[in-house]
Amino acid sequence: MIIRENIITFDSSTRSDVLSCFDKSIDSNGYIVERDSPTQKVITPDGEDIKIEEFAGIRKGSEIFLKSDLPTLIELVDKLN
Amino acid sequence: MSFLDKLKDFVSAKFNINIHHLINVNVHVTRNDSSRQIEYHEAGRTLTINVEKFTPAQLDEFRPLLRGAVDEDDKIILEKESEALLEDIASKESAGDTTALLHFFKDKIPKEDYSALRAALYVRKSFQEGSNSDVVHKLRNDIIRKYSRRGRNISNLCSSGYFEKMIKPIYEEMKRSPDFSQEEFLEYYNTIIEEEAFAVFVSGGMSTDEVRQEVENKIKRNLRYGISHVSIHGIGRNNVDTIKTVIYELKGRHPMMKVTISESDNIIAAKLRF
Repeated sequence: MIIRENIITFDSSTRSDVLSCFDKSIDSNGYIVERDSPTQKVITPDGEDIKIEEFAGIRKGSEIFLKSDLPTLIELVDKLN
Repeated sequence: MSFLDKLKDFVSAKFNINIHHLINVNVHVTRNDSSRQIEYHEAGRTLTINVEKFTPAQLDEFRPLLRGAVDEDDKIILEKESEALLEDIASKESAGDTTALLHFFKDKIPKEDYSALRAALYVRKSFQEGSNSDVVHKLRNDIIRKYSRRGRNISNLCSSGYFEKMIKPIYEEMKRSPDFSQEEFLEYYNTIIEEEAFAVFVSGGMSTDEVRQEVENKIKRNLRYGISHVSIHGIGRNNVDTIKTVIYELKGRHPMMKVTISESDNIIAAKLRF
């Protein structure tokens, strides 16, 4: 069973707000980048760039950025169980 | 001090809303014109924060709070639709048949394949329950993007039920042999996964005519795309006999066809080359 108290949710309309908390911004092509170093794209643990519309969230482990795809969320089920 | 304690203090100091027991609460961040800055529903145990209504100063104080929830409190920040998908994955995986199948294959197939199988089972269940075809297509593409051709093959085999009807029985049959080895199973399993697109899988209840028709269709399709072989897999005495009968008939019609048959313990794998 998922332990929901460990999750803070956000609407897709607040993606940029959430990212700004972690000093990230969006470049002109829609990729998530470091605010202080806009040429540096944020990557997932698989090394993939993330577009703003794919951004599903963040968890600890340095900063692990989550994509909204099925394999990522299946892995997350294991972390939360 | 935990994230919820800090949040309670923040809400009290900035919005004069005093919440006595902020525990086991679902915190949700939103941005809209219609709701208030802070909405707390004690019965539903939800606290909704509308950053649209925050002043710049309030936002400046809220940002480190949210960041600290991840960095210091191990919280996960998750977009609402993904959270719904996460819940649905957990729910579908807890269904008896899915749990049993996953339990069976855990540690028997490569770790990446096991993850792909989990995803494929979720897609299959979503399809069976009538999910929108665009959604199913997107989920299937997620599998292919992450696990490539192997993921696509696992998804195809899973959607046709071959993990239950073919691969599991093959493992059980091979396991009966005193000479069984995991490596031997994996070799067979790999052939099935790799050749998915070029193979016919014969399972219980298929008549000789049905098998022949399926093999001939596969031959035609493969030849059209420049693939000069077809594999046939089957398990169980009846299926093995059916496959042999079909191969015998095909050999009569295609004398140049080369046949390689590997058979043991009621398991047959045949390769037909043209």
